[in-house]
Amino acid sequence: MKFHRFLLASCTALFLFTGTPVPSVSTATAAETEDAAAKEAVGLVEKMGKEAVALLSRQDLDDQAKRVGFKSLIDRDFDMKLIGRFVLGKYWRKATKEQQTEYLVLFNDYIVTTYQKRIGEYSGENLKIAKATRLNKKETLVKSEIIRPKGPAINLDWRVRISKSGEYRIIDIIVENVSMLLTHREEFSAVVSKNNGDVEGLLVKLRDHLAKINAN
Amino acid sequence: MSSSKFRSSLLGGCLLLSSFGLLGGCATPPGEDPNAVVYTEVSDPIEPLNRYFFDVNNALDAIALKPVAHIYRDALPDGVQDSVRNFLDNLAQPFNFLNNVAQGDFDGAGDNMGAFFTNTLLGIGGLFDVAQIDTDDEDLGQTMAVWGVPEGPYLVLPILGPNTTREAAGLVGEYFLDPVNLIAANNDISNVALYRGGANAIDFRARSITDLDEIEKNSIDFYAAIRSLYRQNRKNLILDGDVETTPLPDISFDFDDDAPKSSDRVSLLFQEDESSVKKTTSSSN
Repeated sequence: MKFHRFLLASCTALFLFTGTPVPSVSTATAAETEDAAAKEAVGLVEKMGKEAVALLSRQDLDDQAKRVGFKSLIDRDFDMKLIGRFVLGKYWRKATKEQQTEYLVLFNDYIVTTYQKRIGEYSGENLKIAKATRLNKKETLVKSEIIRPKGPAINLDWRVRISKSGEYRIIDIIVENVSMLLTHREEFSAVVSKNNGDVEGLLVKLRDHLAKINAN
Repeated sequence: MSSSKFRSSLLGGCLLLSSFGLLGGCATPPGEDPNAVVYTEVSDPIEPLNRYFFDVNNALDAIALKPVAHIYRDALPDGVQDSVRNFLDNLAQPFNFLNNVAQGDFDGAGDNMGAFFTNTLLGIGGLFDVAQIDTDDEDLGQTMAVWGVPEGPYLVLPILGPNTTREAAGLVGEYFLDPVNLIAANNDISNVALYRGGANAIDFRARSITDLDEIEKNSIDFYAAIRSLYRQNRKNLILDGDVETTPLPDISFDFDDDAPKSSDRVSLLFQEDESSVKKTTSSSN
């Protein structure tokens, strides 16, 4: 069932892939990676995958240590500032400098905690990178599949973009054609508009949410 | 209530399978400008009312549906659950067939027919999926989209859950058009659609307990998260199949209000950013 697959994946996409038990990350065939950019992008996704697998399957680390490692992986391979700004949408410019700074910190924590939640809950999944397509001169879409022991594969696309400093960074994960970036964005703007367009309301909500999650 | 009605309930259109079938001739709905096939901003003019019914539905879910789904999931053997799923899927095939025909997807329609007859005859009335054909679920809302009917505002229906105006209209039509319901009605078997709807709801809910819980726990606005997931998924169901033209979300730099208005073009996504970011920095300083 498509939607079920998508649901399953949508809340778990990131960790599924970063998730502990992804046993191997297979290589894309060279013929399918058209050019250097595509190669770079595929390399990034693969590296991220391998390192996350290595990190999360380590027995000698506790959850806290894994989280720190996970966070640094995300910081390194995802363009969190760009993602954060996109997710806040038009409200980014309405926020004060201080609000923007705090928001980015909170957003980062939110992403890390949200996507780390399910780490370790999955087993037997296997990430298979299919191919990379150039979207424009800055972006490449890396297509991959999560092969599951039971049930049909889940399509997982990674949007990779060259950052201003010339590095390749992941900016979106698209599960069964559903964009995580967009989902967070609509959620966040809903919170801000419920608070009459005041970003402070979102910050409060995020603080509460993180406090609640961390308390558990 | 048709099964699709209920499927669309809860999480909305949830069990509706992908429309790979659209591959055939209608990868892009003819009524929509291909360039406009990017995901558009949400239209939710009656959000307060929708939020109200969303809460009501969640409350109903918590007291009625979720507990049943829990028992169903935990108490019944996997094989039984699979057979229920197969049986319900099989019942949906005649209507999938009609929709595929209406959408001009004759390959998909052929698959529907093949799966239906094979599973009905060899799979003991559809309890076993002998055909193993990966057919896509279709519904009237998707067919209308292919015909160019616009999505319309977002709508949360009591009990039936997330919808858009177009899908809601489709549900009404399905109630009257689904061959299985018609045949049942003709033979004076009452409430077939209701039972089907109920069974589909329990089946869906049982398989999504963990996922929905997780989404609810991790979201800061459950309503908005579901709304976004629902609409993106619907879009995907309608357009799916042609992977290369899969619309990527519109990631223009519209957080820079003064960015070039390229927001409705898919592939321009971030191209403009260098200049617009500079502009932003200079204008905001």
